[in-house]
Amino acid sequence: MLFYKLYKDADGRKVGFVQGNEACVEAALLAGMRFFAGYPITPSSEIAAVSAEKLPMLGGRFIQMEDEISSMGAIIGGSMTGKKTMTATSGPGFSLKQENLGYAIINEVPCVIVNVQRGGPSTGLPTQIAQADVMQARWGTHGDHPIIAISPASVSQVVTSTIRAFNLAEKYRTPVILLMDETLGHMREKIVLPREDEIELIDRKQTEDTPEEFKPFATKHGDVPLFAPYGKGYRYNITGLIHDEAGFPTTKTDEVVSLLDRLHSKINDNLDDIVEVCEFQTEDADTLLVSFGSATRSCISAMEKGRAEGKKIGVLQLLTVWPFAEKQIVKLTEKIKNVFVVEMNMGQIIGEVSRCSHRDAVVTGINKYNGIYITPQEILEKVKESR
Amino acid sequence: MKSAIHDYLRPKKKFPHVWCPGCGHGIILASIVRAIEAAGKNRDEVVVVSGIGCSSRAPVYVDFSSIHSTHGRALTFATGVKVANPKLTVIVISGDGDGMAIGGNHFIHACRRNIDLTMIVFNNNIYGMTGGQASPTMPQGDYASTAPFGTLERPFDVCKLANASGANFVARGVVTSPIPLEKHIKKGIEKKGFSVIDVAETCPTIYNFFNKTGNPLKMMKDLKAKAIPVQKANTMTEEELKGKIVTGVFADRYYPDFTTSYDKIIMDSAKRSMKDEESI
Amino acid sequence: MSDEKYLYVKKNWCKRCGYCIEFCPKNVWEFGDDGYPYPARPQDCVRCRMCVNICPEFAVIGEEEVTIKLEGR
Repeated sequence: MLFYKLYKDADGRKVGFVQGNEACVEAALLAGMRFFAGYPITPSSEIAAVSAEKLPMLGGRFIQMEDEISSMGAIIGGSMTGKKTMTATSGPGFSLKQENLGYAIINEVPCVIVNVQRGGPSTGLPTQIAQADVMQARWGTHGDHPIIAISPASVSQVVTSTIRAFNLAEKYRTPVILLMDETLGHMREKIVLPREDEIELIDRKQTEDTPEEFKPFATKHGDVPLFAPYGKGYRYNITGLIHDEAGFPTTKTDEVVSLLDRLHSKINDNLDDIVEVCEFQTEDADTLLVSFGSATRSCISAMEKGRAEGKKIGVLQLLTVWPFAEKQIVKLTEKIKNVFVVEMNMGQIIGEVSRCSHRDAVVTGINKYNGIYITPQEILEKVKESR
Repeated sequence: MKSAIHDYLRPKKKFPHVWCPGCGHGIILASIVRAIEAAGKNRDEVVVVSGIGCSSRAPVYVDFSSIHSTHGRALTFATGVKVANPKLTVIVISGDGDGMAIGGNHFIHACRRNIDLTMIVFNNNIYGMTGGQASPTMPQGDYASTAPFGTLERPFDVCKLANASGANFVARGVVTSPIPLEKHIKKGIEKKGFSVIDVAETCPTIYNFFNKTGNPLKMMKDLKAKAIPVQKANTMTEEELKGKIVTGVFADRYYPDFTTSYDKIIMDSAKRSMKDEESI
Repeated sequence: MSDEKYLYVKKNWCKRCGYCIEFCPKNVWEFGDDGYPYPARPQDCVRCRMCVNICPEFAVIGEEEVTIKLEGR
């Protein structure tokens, strides 16, 4: 059962007043998602429910799996047939998905994992907000690995970010994490979905090699290998073991190094394409609020209030949380030395900001982790206090 | 006089394979390949999925699309493949530790869901690759590196578990009889819905090390002597059946499978979504 | 049946478990002097394929063309 309705406006775009979770599914369907596997968990369950309702209308398929681990396994299997796949979860479920997330990374399987963050650790605060899975998104699965994580701040941004998550997953053949949070997932805002002719969709590049010459992890076309869906005559192997270009396990030192290097370089050599930030009034700012996800909203309000009082505050939203916006931080802190990192956790992304900031910059954390959304007043007070 | 296995060995793979001398995995793998050929499947449309362990190294040797997935999770990857593209024939290869312990939950749910997969359990009652730990099918009292005083726990009967959980086809074969084994697997592949073929075999390296069961040949002879067809077993008492391995078909049902049922939902939803569009 | 040679053992794959010898219903096989099994009494073979099917190494091959195809592997 759907708890929202979309209407068509004069320009043929679908318009609605929807939750972030619902918007996520609408955008995923626009982006081409045709398979969803999930498991119930607050506060992400609506994503599974809406997918169950809407996917079959488009000939897609939904399955409720027996647990979080199997949902992650299923979307990897589904993606190997060439479909765009997604799963959604929250903290505890995200923990369970980590092993298979690593599998998707090493086998370069495009897929999108939504984590609607809630308070932790453990069962934590199931119905309340936190942004404390940022480091888990980066380092949750074991071993050296790259990751892309995107963190929208509004329901409209959920739409653009979800489409972007699918595009990045397909373009770079990697899992992409969409880091939402409880507030964003359950908040209703107006969205205007783009028409199909208004969005640029990226599909993973398919091989043109014959099955005989095809190698699933060949580097001859660059760092991102070309794809062949299962069932089309390309009978190849994928394995979680370190593998050679043909997909067979290897322990040869040069092949180990070249695989790990390539997995990283395909992301790290394309930071300009992957890393997206939003700057708000940073041109004349002497104080910078760095944030991500829904905390950004309070930062923008705090900025507006502060500016009304004559304080030159600017905001940097890390729309792409991982890979980290190192270049942008370096550039901004050359100019702005008073930096606050606003996050609803005990201080996670602040470490990265400090690492990249100019040595003269003073980086202070503004943190809230009691399950209640951070307000503009709280941010502004902290900014004033530290002066 | 030709064996299908030789036509299906992966061209670029080196042989002999990794398994120990006398290990039954190769016998089962060859039986699976013969069954796939006998069922008339196009090799391009077959996907073989495995987990982690000795048995799970099998798919890499044969020329099908294959997924060597994570420990215990073969069924989850296979479910994804099958649901996303129901035209594919999906075979799951799993060991007794991989499939019944860490993957036990996926196993009963695949049975319940009755998804059209064929799962072959390479059941040697021990964890071989990690050095001989007790598995969920190890007979009570047998020894393992983690059961130096004998296992306290009773073993799972894979077939009873599958049968009770609702799989459409459940059978047990034994590596000493590769032809009936091949027939069970063929039947499983042809069957719509979830099929489980439990295969009793030996682990002549590790199991023998902890239990002094003898050389590979002796273990195979003992295994052959233990195997009792289900028809005969039905006439035997519980006492007589102690230590025996009952082989044959235990369930052969026709409940609708998951993907076929889902196709109906897609048909209905397409009609409904057309109505919705009109109402906008 | 005939004593023409049609059963081959691929020695570089064989791990000498002896299953072909043990499970042959007609006692065709024996270990040779080199330690590898060979069909000592091919005339007794009824072509039931037991040796081919029970070989865990895929090393018992019942056709010359197959052995040629696998040459060098």
